[in-house]
Amino acid sequence: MIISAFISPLVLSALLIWFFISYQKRKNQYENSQKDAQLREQELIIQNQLNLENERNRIASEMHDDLGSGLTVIKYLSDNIVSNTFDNAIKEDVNKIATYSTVLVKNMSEIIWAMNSRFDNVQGLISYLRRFAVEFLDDNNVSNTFIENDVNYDINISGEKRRNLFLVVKELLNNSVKYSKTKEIIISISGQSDLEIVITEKHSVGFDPLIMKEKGNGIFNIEKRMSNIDGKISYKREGSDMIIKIFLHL
Amino acid sequence: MITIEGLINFYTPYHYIGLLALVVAVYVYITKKKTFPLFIPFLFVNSFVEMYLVYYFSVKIKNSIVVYNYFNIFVILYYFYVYYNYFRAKPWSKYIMLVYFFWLVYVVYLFWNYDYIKYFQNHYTVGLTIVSVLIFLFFKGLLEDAEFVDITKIPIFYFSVGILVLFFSSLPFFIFSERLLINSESRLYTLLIVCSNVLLNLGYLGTALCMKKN
Repeated sequence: MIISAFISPLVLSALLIWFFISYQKRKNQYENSQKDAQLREQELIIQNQLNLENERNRIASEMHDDLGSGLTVIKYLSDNIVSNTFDNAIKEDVNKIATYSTVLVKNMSEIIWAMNSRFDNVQGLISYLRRFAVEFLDDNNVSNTFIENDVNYDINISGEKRRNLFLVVKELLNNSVKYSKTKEIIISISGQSDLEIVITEKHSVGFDPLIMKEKGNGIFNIEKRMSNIDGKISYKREGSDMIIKIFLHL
Repeated sequence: MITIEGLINFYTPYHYIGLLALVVAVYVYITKKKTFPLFIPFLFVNSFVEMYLVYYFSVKIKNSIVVYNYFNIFVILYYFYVYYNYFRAKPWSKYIMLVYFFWLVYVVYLFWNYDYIKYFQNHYTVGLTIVSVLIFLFFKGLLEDAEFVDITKIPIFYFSVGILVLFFSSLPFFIFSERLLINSESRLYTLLIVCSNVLLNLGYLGTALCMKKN
């Protein structure tokens, strides 16, 4: 009688053990298949990214080689016409062509830089920003200092983010030169996992961003660009200096 | 005489676990508006019968099997309902109803032809055997369904394990109940029944907690 009392629990235990072993096998199979699917998906994403990167690089390279050289030839020919003609009307028109060609070459080089995946890191961004800022401020007789503090240069940053950040800085420097009456600008860049760009206009007349936003498109576009890349921008007046801070989480 | 002290002495851990399952199920229903099919009414009747009626009959007529005779019909009907509900989408689910119809006929037949002990052991054993088959079909489904189901996240799994543990551990008691009731070994079986009831009620509690978790 006692034995019979234990037979049915034993049968149950055996059946439950069988169930749990089979279930565990099924679970392992399921987990493995999930892992495989995840891996395949990741591989596909990486492959797509690589394809996209290759395509970006191809377009950047073709733009550089074909359009860039074409525009340079236009500029060269325009300069030739200007130097060989005595007709002032023609000279003026051809000069415009040469100027537009120069602007187009610059703009195109910005697009090519943004598209080229070789520059998809903080190092690529800072180098380009530094070159532009120094050239632009020197051309406009504004004394400038470019400081890099504790920056992690290897962090990846997408072409879209780079281009938006560059255009924001370009617009800010353009505004500074045009309206702030400053004679000195300090650009400081820092950040390990974030990027903080601080533009200090020394002895600036300053501006109220709210009023500027109503007056023109510049500040509005800057804020829109920052919002597109999940970044932040703030403006602060400190004594006679105007401080603009750009923050981007990488 | 029925006294509070007598009631408290009468209770075993499974009574408290059953009551806790009811409290958790009500709490989950109030806070999450989730419930297992007719679970709260079932647990309410379960607690009322196990915690009061059984004691009442034990004191008044010194026999609680009469209560269990009818209560177990209710319990098995509820189990049928749960598994019918679970398998409702299957084409063969209508046969579950047919089987249960025959089981009810058998219950009525036993009622007229056997004494109350035989009645109890027969309808309960046959009913739970059918429920066990459904539970194994449920387990089989878990292993064979195209979509993998995490058993820890489905309330009916805890419910099913509780029933299986109770049934298989108490099966000898039902089969040999006549002998056991006059035999000295009955204390061992009573202990076995109490333990398996603890596991059954833990199954109910697991069901309620699983609803809360998910």
